[in-house]
Amino acid sequence: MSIIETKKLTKYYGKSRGIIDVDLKIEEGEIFGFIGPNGAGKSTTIRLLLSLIKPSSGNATIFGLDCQRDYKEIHKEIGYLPSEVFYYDNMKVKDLLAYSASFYQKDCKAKIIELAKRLDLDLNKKIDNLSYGNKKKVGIIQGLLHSPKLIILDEPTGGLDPLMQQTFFDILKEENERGATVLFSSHILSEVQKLCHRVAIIKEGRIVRIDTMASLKENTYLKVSLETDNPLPSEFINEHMLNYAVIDGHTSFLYNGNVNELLGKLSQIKLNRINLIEPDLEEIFMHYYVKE
Amino acid sequence: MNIFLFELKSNVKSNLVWIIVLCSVAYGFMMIYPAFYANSQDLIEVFNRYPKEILVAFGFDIDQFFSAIGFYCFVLIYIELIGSMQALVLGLGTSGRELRLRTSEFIMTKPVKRLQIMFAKTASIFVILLVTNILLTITSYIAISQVTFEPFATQAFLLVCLSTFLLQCVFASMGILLGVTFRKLRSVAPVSLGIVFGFFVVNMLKAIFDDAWIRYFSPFQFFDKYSIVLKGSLEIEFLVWGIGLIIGMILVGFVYFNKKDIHAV
Repeated sequence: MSIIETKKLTKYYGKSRGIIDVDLKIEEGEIFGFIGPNGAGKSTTIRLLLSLIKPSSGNATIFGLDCQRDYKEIHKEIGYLPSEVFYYDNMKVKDLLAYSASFYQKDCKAKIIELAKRLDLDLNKKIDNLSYGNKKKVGIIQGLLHSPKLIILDEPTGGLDPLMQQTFFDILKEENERGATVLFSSHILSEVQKLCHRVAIIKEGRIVRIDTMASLKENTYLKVSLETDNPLPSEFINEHMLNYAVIDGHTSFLYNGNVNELLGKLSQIKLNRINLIEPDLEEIFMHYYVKE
Repeated sequence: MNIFLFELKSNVKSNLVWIIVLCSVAYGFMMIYPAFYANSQDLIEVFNRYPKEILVAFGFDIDQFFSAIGFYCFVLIYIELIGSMQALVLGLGTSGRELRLRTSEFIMTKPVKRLQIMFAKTASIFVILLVTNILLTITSYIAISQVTFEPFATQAFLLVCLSTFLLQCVFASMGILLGVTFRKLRSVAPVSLGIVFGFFVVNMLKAIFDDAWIRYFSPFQFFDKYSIVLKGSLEIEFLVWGIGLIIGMILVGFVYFNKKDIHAV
């Protein structure tokens, strides 16, 4: 059974698009990345899964239960961390976390203390006086304190310093090893690259690609940059070259064709410099991001 | 239960202040009564020089003004003005708490039905209003007993107090409804102040123009105090209308909240 499954999930806000026909299947134990530019529909999808908003059509299930009808059951085993966290006025961190824990029929005290220690958060402070990053830590603990089976994160890393981010990712990996499934939405590809097993790319409300991290990064992609005195002949360019750009005699592109063929082409050109490297995810996805 | 207790705790301090203000006004005003009573003849002469409409608009009823309970009915106009504010702030603040603080996502991703959230909030509102009215009734009873020169009808007094409670319930349920239907809620007090004073003006207009239909839109007149004292009972028609409104507004609020899309902030 899939942990999350959506079928033709569609949401319109009045006439404006939210998401269209989103089909997702996330299996137990996965860390699933959900990436796309701002406004692509990542948050809309997540909010539909959490029953914060109602779909225009299509349906979604979590743990095999209907997201709209059985949300109370589902929420028992979900931990959610939004991109921006807000809390009630005038509360201490520990009071807020105790309130949060009071919704679950579990003793969460030990976990709260453990997480606070690892994230270096003072539980006795007032939330109003915390910095943005520290508020985020409260959010992390709040989302994980009941050891949920499914952790949903919506652009969660804003405000955390790199060291804390690493700790946070370590915690997520441990939760995953414990058996938790993770849905991680982000527009920062390097984050996803570090953490996720599979990713879905969403653009303008539609899923454009779902693939494993390994196959997305397979070696056929090569980042090529050249420096030449004369502009390259137009027949040099072929359909295997993505993101082709020429700036001041520097030519750069991503190559996903046969390497020997490329070297053959290159040998006919007088080159000043050449640089061949494996691109990071960001560059592979750039062409998904650019609007048509 | 946790939401109920959380709301109760969040509201307890501010409402203690409201309760103290209400009881002080009730007690303080009643302590003036003996002086009014002593000068009743002179005052009647003064009052008779004003146009009748002005007196009605400000809630004077000369025939009853000089009995202790009649004087209490006059004082109640100001108590009810304060009490309505308390109830509206309480209703709006409680049902709109998540909206105002942007914590909707926090509570709505918890394993709790939306209707359970609303039910807990509504219950906490009514418990606070009930406590308020019990304390106000006790304070008023003591005050009236201290100053009255003749025995007064306890039943009529209790009905008058009940009508104050019902009026607060009308404003509280209005607050509950507004709290869930608003798309944005920055601060509660200015909105509440505006609405309550708006209805207070409607109340004064009714007194001046004397159009019967205005009464249905003027919560301050659903439960006419002087008529309660005179007849010893609430007017059934307006009792039904008032309670119907309370239930209606709460139900609409519940249904709306249950269906509403919670938008990102």
